[in-house]
Amino acid sequence: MIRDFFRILVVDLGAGRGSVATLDGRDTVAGGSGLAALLFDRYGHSNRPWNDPDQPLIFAIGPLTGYFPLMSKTVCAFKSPYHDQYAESHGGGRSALSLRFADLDALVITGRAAKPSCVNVGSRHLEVRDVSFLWGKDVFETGKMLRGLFRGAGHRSNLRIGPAGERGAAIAEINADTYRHFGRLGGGAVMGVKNLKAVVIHGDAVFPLPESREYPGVFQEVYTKLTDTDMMSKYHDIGTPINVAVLNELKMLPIRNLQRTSDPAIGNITGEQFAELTLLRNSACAGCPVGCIHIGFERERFQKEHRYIYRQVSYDHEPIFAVGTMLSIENCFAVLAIIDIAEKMGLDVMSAGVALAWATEAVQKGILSERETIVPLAFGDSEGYRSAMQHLGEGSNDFYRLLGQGTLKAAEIYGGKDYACVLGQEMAGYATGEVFFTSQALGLRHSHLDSGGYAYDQKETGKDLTRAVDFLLKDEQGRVLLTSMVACLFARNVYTDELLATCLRTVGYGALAENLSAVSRNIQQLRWKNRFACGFKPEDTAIPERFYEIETMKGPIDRIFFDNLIQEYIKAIRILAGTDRAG
Amino acid sequence: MARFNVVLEREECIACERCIGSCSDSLEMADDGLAQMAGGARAGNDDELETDERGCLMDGAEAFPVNIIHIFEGGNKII
Repeated sequence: MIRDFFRILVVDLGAGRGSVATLDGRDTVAGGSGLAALLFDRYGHSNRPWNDPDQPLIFAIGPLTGYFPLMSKTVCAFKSPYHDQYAESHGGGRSALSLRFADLDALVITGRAAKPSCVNVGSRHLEVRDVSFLWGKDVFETGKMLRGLFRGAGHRSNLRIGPAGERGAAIAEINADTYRHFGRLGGGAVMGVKNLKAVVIHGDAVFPLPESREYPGVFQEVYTKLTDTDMMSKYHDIGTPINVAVLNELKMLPIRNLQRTSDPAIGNITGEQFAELTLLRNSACAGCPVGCIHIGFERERFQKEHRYIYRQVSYDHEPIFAVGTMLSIENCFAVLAIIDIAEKMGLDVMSAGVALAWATEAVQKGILSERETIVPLAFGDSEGYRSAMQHLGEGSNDFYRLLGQGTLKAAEIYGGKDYACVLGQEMAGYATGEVFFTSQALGLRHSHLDSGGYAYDQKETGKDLTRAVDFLLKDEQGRVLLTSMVACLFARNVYTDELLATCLRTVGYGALAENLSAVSRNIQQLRWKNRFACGFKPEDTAIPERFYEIETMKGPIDRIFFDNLIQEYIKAIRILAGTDRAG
Repeated sequence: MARFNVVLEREECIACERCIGSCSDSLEMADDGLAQMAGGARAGNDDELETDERGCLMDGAEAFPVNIIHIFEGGNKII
């Protein structure tokens, strides 16, 4: 095993120094999501605001990181600027393996640097370096400079923010190695408010593999299971954008600010079209043989003669939904151009796209004008959206600064709450039905990956409240176990509890392997307790009317079922977190 | 009794070796790859040294990337 305790590096940005802490808890919280929750409980301050300098920014990996395929993600946890409560955001790139090869189970960053800084950490070094000259630079310029400033190419992870994070936008992301992100709930702003422009993790140590005779066989078994499935070939070939056409066919695709859920014009921006017209290459997070990262290109003419520069732009289902279908952009290259700007600015492209979709409808309805939006916004007009995305990233005026705090924040001032497509945070790219909407609205991360609500809606026809709530809770528990290892959730159908137990036993975590059910339940509860301790009131969740208006292949949304499901799920998570008792 | 008591928390050393360059009179790398106090006594996982002169140890305590050197004067922790 790596070790039966946790080795944490705690960095104090104000002091410019760190300390190594060892923590017990391997057999109760495993790592990843569980470790992040434990660390927030220890270092976080639930009763202080998110931008208090003492609040921690946590990056955590798990007991199987580096040992098995697709154990390739990192859990980032923080008090979110979006809702001022405990939040998790998951990302990949090289972050997980860099932490592993730096001999760390987690990195905790506290305090606020006196000047814009970069934390540079490896197995045998730690530095908080003044990088004032990077402040103001976009994500790509920053990455290029970081690669020149710090050694370790190939075994190094560059986490950085753009202008959106620097100015504290609640929809600012942390870019991980250019093509991946800790995207949601404003981790970028947490870095920005700490004057932390970047974190460079150099995985410069040796990581010995288990010497057990079982390990090679188990590894091969897992590798074969992961790479020989249709699911994995789907993720490698077309990638997640394969969902665009499927959801469109099912009338479950959010289009034009969720005014509709299906449109023949979507045929121009399906995953298949992106692959045919724009795909240059695949890439992968370190530790993953699947290669789901799809990289297209954007071309820009820079001279009167036919001279072009091109930029590589990664795409997935969610960005295509957010700045493609939600904005009625029907050209692949136009979609990539808007994604590119969101990336440069360090904006969560999902939230940004949904925010601009709301703004466009608000313009149509006359509650916004160019006085607020600066540029004309109209569904289908990619040039307007390119400019608007830049303004949103830079916070060009009061309106964009407010919109950058979240669509509902803007709607509270200007009106239009009914069609602000927010379920806890800006919606994900599925309009499958009541169970998914409930899952995202009330899920801990407000993520489409909190539980498989979107799959439930597609497969189930009944309206059984108990069954739906049980599914959400059990599925969350299963996923929380995976994100404590830390597995990419694409592998969830391969890494069953049984296989996880085998993997853990093989690398020496026998006690953990014997208790997975209790451990996952414990982690699930600990995360919810953190959230509630920060003031989460699920009863205050309001579902915008737009979500009640849609119709899928299954028919119109059942308002009564939806409302009852929300109430029952609230009761269930309160019981889980132990907050259901009066007083 | 010496004026200062210096404690080095060896378990938290990250083996960056900055101590060798800046305080080689008092700090060195041990065979286990971690820093140790030259002339100090091993107490569990820590090294301890009693000395009347802080010398470069104070600079090191302030400057090293991880805060593993602690200096006590008359029982009071200075750093």
